Amino acid sequence: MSNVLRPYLAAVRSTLTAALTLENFSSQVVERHNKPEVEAGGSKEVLLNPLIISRNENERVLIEPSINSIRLSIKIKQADEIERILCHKFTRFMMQRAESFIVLRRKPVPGYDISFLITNTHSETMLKHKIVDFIIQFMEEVDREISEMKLSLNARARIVAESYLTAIST
Amino acid sequence: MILLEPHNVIIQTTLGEKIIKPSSLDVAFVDYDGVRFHLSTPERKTLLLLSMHIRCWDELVRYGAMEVLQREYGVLLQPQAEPEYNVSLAIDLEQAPTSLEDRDAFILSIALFKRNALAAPFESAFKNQKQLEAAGTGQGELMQIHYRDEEAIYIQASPDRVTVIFSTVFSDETDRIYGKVFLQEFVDARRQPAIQNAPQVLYSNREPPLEIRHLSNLRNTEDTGYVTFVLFPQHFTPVNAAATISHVQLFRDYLHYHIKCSKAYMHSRMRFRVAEFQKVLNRAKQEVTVTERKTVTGRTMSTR
Amino acid sequence: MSLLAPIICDNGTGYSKVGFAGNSDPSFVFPTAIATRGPAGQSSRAPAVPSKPGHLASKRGVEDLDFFIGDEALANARTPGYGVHYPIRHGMIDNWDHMERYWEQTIFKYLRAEPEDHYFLLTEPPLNPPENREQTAEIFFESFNIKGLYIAVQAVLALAASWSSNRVTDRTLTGTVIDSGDGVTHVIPCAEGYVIGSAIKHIPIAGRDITKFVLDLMRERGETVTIPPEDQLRVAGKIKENYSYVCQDIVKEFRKFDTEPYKYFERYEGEHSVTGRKYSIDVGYERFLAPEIFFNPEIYSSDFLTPLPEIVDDVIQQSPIDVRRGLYKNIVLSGGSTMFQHFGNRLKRDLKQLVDRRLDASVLASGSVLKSTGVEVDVISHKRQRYAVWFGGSLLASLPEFYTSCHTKAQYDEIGPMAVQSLSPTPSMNFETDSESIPAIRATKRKLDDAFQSLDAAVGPKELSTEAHPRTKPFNARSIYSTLAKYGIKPRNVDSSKSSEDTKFASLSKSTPNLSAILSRAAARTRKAFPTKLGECSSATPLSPLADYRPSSIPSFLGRLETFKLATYANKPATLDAVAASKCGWINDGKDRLVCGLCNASWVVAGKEGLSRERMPWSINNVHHSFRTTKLVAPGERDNVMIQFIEYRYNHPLPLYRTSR
Repeated sequence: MSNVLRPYLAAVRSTLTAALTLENFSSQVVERHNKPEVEAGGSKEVLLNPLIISRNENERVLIEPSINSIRLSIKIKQADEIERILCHKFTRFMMQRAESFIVLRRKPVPGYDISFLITNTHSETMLKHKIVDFIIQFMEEVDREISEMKLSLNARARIVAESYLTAIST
Repeated sequence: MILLEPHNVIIQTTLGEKIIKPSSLDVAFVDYDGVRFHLSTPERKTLLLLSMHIRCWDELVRYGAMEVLQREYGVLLQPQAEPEYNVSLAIDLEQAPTSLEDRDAFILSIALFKRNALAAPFESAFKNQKQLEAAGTGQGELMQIHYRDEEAIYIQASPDRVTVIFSTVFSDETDRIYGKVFLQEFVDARRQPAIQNAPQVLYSNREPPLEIRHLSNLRNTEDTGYVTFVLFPQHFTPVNAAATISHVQLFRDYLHYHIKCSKAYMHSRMRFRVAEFQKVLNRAKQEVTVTERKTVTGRTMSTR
Repeated sequence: MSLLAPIICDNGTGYSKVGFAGNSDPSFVFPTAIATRGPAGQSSRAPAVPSKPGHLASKRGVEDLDFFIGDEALANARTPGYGVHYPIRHGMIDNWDHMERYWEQTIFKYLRAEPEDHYFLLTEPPLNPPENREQTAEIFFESFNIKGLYIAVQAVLALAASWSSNRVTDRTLTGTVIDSGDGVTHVIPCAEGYVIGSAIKHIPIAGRDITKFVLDLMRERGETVTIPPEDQLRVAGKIKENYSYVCQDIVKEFRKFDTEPYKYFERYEGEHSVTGRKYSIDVGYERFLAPEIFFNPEIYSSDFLTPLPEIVDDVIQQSPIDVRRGLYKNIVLSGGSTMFQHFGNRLKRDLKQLVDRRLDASVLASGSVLKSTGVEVDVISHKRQRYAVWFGGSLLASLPEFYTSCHTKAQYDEIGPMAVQSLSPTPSMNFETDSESIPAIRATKRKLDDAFQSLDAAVGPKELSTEAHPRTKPFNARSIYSTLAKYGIKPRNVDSSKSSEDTKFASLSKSTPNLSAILSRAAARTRKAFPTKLGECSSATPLSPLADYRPSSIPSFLGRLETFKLATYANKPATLDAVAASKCGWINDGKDRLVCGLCNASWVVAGKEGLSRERMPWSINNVHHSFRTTKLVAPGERDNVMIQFIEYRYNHPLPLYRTSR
């Protein structure tokens, strides 16, 4: 699995490293305010070009950089109904705990499953390459977790059915 | 606990306590499928009145519930039920059996009150099947039991089998998908060598099965599912008929119980995963060393 | 379809109490323990994923269903392979995986309820972080698909439970809750249903410590040699529950015990759990010394030295000044470790001493210029103290407003777990702030009164009838009758007015008979505090059920005694006082007037002032000797006795009369 994903993840990693050059920038619109510009979306000059890295139709990463913040949205592979539900639940579970995750955004950008918001304060207090590591690891783990959950669900179903029918037939 | 138990735990524990030490009581509790119970001591401390309210009582009576209850409980069955309830049992603690095993068996039989009431249509279907088998042809009556608001059990006897159809409603999208996975496994389970003798299970999502398609009041929405059990005579021999009835009755509850358990299991997996992610993220945080600041003369700064 | 009763689930650190609303006791009380596969210490690290990914084709896929809760967990603790975990620590949920599974088995195995059909009421400790509430909501709405959820603070429920006490005249949610369980004791002040978080205090003395103290005392005396070591704690616990009480003064108790050992020492019969061998232990000083550690902690250990009354005083003094009177007036006990006899009285006495001392000191400090009006201190004990929180929940959930104040699944789906952040006030409080809904307040109070009444009617006569006679119509009629009297409907014939009964009252009494019986019995006693209502109704025929003279019937005696009020019948010698008179069949109706319910004759018991020696018919010299020695007679026989006294022109000689004054 990793072999196939490797070029994809490598591309994401290099883009992210390049985009994570953030500096402190006070808001140009409101005095004495300091907002993540990618969220505020006020003036065009502070927003940089958004970039989509896609592996296929169903797996994409959208990176929207700006001068003091960067927003990263991921669309996770969901092949069938079960995966769709599992992914939805998992991302909702995570976003529920966004407080403790620091870089996680509470609502995904429309069209994607999960979004991260990294600001200059994060890149100053945390090691940049570690943040990038985290994101890449997250992308790997999420896919793996969802397929594992699906397999375990199938296994459970099989055991449940087995127990019930054995109970009847004996 | 994988399989659901057919007896009611509250009845069992309460009766167990009261037989040893009678006292007055008045409790109301429930069982699966919206069944309400009321256990009280209206006249004296040693005479317990257990009343049950089942939604489909009239249908059950039509299919012979009273005879089954009469057979199981005999004199305990009251002719007139408590107001607002369908059927009552009067349990005289003074006449309860004294030896330990007999007492446990007695309590267990009372705790199976709901199960026995719901067993009536099954028993009559089994009897029907025997008759039809002897006769060779014909179809039994299609019995309908609307045991829940929007769900029902349909039972029909044929010369060589008894068909039980469950209509079940999934209120949540997640439940529906999980349910599909589970039911698919039920259908496929027969392929396993260990359970070749199990009843055949069929599942359809929205379309009602052939046997009940002619009925008028069927729900036809996306979240309805129909599960058909085909029971062969080997499943209801006199030895295992009672166990089969107990298990088949609780099928819907069993299914939903396991759906909820698997959702809980997914939660615990997710919690674990989230904890792992946080560990990785914490590695990114830098160590903030707390240095004690001192002035030249040796006085320290204190932070509040 | 009829609405199924809401499920009340009170998960505490030691025990979980679960049951259905409308009942007066929880259906299940078992320890909050879960036994899962794997060693006991595993819960310290991250929640273990039960099945390893990859090995999926075996029964190991459902390992997470292999667990036990409650008593079964403790029973299985000894089987190898299972470890016992306690998911709740200090009142708050520590391990969410275990707690989710615990709830799962509670609902499906023990309560046998389909969560999609029920509303749930859960409890939380005060100062519970909002994240915990969100997580709870997530579990219940997403995993169990419940219909609606209400999370209540335990202290407020304990206050609601105290309304069933017969000492409470107005139902208020302002008070101090002393919640003493197995692990720790909390003193929590509440104002208007909201907990004053900054003033909460915890005392590290609770049930477990008292049990250990009992064990230590017995060990010092050498009593424990006969008890097998694994049973010692359990036996100490049983002794604590069965034989302990709170004394008023330690020194006096010691003296009492020493002078009359046979009266005070008790014997406990125990049986060895494994061999069945019987042994017996003497229970002595620990009877009153054990609960004494609440009031004198230094006798147990030197870690914590402040006695409970002082802590309560401190807590109330730290609360905002405008609620302090309310807090002193309504101190409510809850939890198993407050069940000691006379606990409430001792606490009240000690606390009143502290308060009075402080008030005196301040009067002195002001140079005796400012006098205080005194502070009323009252400690409320009631029968449901042990599971007070659960009972309060059951009460609240039986009100019709409960369903509207729950957070529903629809709200959760729309807003997400943040939906439960809104502090839903207790249902009966919704109306308190609205000025134009004063009638609504009365309506709620009336509904609650009716709930109380029907509860009383259902439970009260049942409990008494086991001793006396089968439930008589009069008792029932009286409670319905009194409700109607409150609405101003004087019953000319009870049947027609019964149909105009409040429908809510009828439905409430049907759906929650047991609960409403208890409440109404309490309410009936509170109505004693408003004599005029009963007084005006007592003139008509309904009087007769109250007044019939049945010597051994407690209800009729109590009924007659009820009619005697301080305002109308006071300062009588002991032989003529309210108790004696009602024992003989008299009712008080009007000032100093005794009326016989059966024949309606009446006479006035005049005070000393109005009489001269000669006119006093009961002075020792003026009276026939038989007057003094006449015994209590039944109404039938009384006629014969009367005839003897006709010459004295007293229609009703007082039997059982003695002249000492």
